[in-house]
Amino acid sequence: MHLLPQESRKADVVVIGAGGAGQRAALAARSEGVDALLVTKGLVGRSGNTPMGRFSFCVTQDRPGNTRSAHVRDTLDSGEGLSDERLVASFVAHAPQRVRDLLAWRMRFEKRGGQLHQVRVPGHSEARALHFKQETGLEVTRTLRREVTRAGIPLMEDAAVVAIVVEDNAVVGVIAVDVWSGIPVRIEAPAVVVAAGGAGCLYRHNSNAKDSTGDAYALAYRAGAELIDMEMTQFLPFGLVAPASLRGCTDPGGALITAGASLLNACGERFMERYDAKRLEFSTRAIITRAIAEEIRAGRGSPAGGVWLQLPKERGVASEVIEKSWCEYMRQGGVDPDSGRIEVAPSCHYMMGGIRVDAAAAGSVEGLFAAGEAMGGLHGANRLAGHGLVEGQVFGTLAGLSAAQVAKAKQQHSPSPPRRRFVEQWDCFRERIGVGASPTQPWEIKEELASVMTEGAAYVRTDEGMRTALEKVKDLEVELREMKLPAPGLALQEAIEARNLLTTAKVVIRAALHRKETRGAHMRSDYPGRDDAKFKVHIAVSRARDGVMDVAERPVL
Amino acid sequence: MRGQDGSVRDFSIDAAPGITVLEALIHVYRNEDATLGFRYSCTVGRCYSCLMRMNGETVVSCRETLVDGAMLEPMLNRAAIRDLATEDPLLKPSRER
Repeated sequence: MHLLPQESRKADVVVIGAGGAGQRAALAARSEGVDALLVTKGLVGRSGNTPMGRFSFCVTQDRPGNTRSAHVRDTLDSGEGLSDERLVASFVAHAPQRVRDLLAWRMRFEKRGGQLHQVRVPGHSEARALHFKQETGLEVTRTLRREVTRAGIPLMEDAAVVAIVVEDNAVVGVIAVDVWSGIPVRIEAPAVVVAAGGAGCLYRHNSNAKDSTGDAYALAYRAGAELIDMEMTQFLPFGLVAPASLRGCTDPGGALITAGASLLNACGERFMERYDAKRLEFSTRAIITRAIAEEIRAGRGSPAGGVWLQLPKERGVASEVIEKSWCEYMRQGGVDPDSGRIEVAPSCHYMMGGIRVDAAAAGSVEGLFAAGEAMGGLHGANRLAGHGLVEGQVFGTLAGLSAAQVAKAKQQHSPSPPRRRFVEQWDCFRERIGVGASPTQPWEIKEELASVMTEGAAYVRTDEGMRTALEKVKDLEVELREMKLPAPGLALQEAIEARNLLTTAKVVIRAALHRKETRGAHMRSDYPGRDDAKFKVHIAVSRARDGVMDVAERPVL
Repeated sequence: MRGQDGSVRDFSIDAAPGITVLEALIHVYRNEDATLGFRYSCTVGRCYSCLMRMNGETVVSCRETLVDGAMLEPMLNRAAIRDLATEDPLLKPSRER
């Protein structure tokens, strides 16, 4: 391995992550006439969570009779007191223009009678969900990918960013490692947009892409930026348990519930009658997840650690309801969707928390911006359906525009950043991964972490469970260091991912330990009530100068 | 498996029937050769990063059941990266490195 970053280049704006938010940010920056470089550890538009967005893209269009206030209210209600009102207002206000941008770029939102078709989805008081078949997220990335090519935006693929380099609390660039050669690259830039959000791989059951490994949170944390609401990890109740290739997938379960399926425990009881008699399976995701957790804890769970999802009709109806490709996939893995009942368990789907930003998408480090799932504060304690994809477009744009302004301002005045900062960060990276000779492989550390987090810090938490998990996470960090550095390739990527997951795990646990109440997606069996007097605040985590993890409280704005 | 330089490597695994091509590759990568080159992200047939050829036909390797004795090759006409990994399997623009 090399002693310091060998290659170097310059850019005005570096965008880390090339999904919906990242591609949108690069386009926005480019539109301001600056050099935006799109950097991704995978392939542009084929990595991360955006392609996983199934259906809803919720906006209130600019039409007479439409009121934004209802949309704002629904979002604030869902956030249970932790949504930043200025971010929500900005989100609702900018969304219609982002739709027009996508349409201008030939996104195929579905229409009925010549008008954009919007449906009502859970949590929304009006019909707001635009959609494209059952693959809206994929259509977003396809559309942006075409536009990124057309705009001539330079791309760095297979380039895993390992550090955002900072001097006097201002961004001076990043270090990326080419995954296949192991060669590090130093990229000098005064502005960075962090759009590599998602950390579902923290948990065994997740609906995420398998490269959703907390990269955004870890990079921002290590650069000194503040993260908020990291304890708000959204679990969807109906993740498949089998087949193994579909573990955590939530689309079939969601479709079945919409079609009237019931949840049964091991005793065949429709237990939601005890937790939410009025709404039953149409209750909120948080209430259903809590109910499932309680049933499992009481010993009434299904064999693989979930509960049963059953259509209240005769056999053979499920395959009419579940999208054909999922049915095929299930059968391929030996699971018959028409078998009468399917085992489901809560699956980690989305991170509400992330990098704390202001209305211009700026983080607490100068020159560091965040967009998409990487940012925190919009969704509060619970995200509404259809807001993930839109968040990426709205704040991707704001972040790209803001980053471009910083880049323009600095162009005239800045000398070249000191190389020693890059060298320091590179040394720091080298010290954390693989300086030993242990034969442990990175994928083993990732799997062990997923077990630790699922056991101790998943959707129902206790002080003791989380403290035990935290100690185990720290042990895994030691194991990562003692591992023999893998040869470049997927193993190197997984080692970098393991490090990012471990950092993110610590942040999530520390934030969750601090919030001694239950609110939204954060559920504690040792503090089952909501405590507005003490906890109507953001839990903020940041890295102090001496490297210690600081936990603080910030007002909700 | 035929790599970028034309050489062929044989892998044998014990696996349950119905295993996908990607599951088999991950098994080899974890247990035999940690330098094996291939791509994946979503693992559910959405992102199309895992495209390759099996017995001459393009397949989505995370969805495709592995056929006994299958010959795996990278996509045609894409810049080579390593083994079964190429530049973006569906798009042709030149990459920055």
